[in-house]
Amino acid sequence: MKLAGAALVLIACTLIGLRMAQGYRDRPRALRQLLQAVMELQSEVEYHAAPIPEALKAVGARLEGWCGAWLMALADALGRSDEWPGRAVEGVSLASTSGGALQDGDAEPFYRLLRSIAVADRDHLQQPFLAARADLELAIQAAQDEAERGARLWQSFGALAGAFIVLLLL
Amino acid sequence: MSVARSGPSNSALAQAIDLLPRDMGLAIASLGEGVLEQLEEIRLRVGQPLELCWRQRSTFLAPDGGLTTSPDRSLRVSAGELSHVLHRLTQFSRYAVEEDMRQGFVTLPGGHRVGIAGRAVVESGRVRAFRHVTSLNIRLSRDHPGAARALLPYVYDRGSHRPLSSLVLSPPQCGKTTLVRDVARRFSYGDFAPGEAGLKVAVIDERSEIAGSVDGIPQFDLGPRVDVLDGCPKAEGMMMAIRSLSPRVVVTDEIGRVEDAEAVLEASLAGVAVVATAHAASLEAWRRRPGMEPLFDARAFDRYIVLSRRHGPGTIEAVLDAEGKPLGRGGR
Repeated sequence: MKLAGAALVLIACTLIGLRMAQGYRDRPRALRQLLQAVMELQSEVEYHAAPIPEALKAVGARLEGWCGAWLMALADALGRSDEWPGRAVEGVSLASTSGGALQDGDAEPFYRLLRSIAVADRDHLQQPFLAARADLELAIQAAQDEAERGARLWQSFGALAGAFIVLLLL
Repeated sequence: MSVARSGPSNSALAQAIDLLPRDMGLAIASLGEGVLEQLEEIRLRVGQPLELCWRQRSTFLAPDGGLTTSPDRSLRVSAGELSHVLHRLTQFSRYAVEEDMRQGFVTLPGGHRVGIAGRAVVESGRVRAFRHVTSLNIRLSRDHPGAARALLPYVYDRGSHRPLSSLVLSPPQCGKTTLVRDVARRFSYGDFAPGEAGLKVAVIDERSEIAGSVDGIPQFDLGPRVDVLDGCPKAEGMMMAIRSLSPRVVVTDEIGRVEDAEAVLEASLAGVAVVATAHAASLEAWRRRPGMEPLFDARAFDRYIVLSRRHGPGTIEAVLDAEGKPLGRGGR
């Protein structure tokens, strides 16, 4: 009985560690999806000259999962709003749509992009997109570094914490 | 003939009112049907009363929602309210309407045209943008099936079974676009002469006013045989249509540039009838415009239809042949 309990504690702690490690791995993946969204938005805006809400809807419909849903929610918010894009989209939470993989602050390069292109003419659309892509690439690199450290740490920590508790129990 | 015109449909009016700040929109929507049905323009100018134009009348919107002719007792438009309308108009995307704005207007879904005035930014002698927009004129588009009925005997030759190239001339707001839209619809449906089949029609809708397209889909009924090149420059569009869509009739709005005239000439030589409009009070005035006289000399148009507002929009003043000789009785 004691051994079974110890095994359960060990497994539970290891799983908690793996789950935490997974969280670290999800973040760069989610940021890469955001980068993909920016690149697709660029073609909608630069090539098709689609207005922002229409472009967001088109890209949102193509992208699957949380990213598509988030873009659609942004398009809806803009369609209903008469306020400046930055304020109009504040109510759309990136953190809750991405299931916690990203924080609301991670959307800032995207919002900055929307604010810039809203007042840009067609000759000056490329620069805001390049800036947003550069910001997101930096964020991805940082998230990857953090993921490597954090994921390894949590994987080991979970198993070690489990083993430590087992030793105390025994 | 004075065409008994219907006002903008409820949905068309709603699209235009939707642009406005909530209070203004509600105040206009609460005006009586008699006004709403005849409403032609909603004009907003920063610091000035909101003006409503209908049936050659000009009134202002009162703060309580009624109408007044006194500027002092009227609802004034603030810079913030105009900015609100502009954001909704451009969908937060100036780049998407840049080309239209350079020409001084933006077309709304449904074909309503919003004219823009303000501080122009000029580059190499051309308007590049408007920095401070201070006035907006929302011109309500309307459909009137049957507007072209009286014209049909003049724009189709039953002897040779061919549509005739026709140019509709008038000053602004006399119903040119409404008329050519109905001509396109009737050719498309085959509803122009007994026993005749429908014709393939290409509509070159540079300003999205003839078809009122939304996402490329016409919001006005144009019948089953119409291809619409929406937002396409007229001259280029006419050539594209002739090359690839094999139309019997090309319909377009507001020819005025030399390249438009060249495209019309090209189309007439290719055996395609062109139904077009132009701003001019008379045939003589139109011929004096740059690049238009060669069209007249080449007899590119078989018919010239002159409109006015004498008995309301759509009053046909004269129908002239290729040489400018009257065919129909004026003032109808």
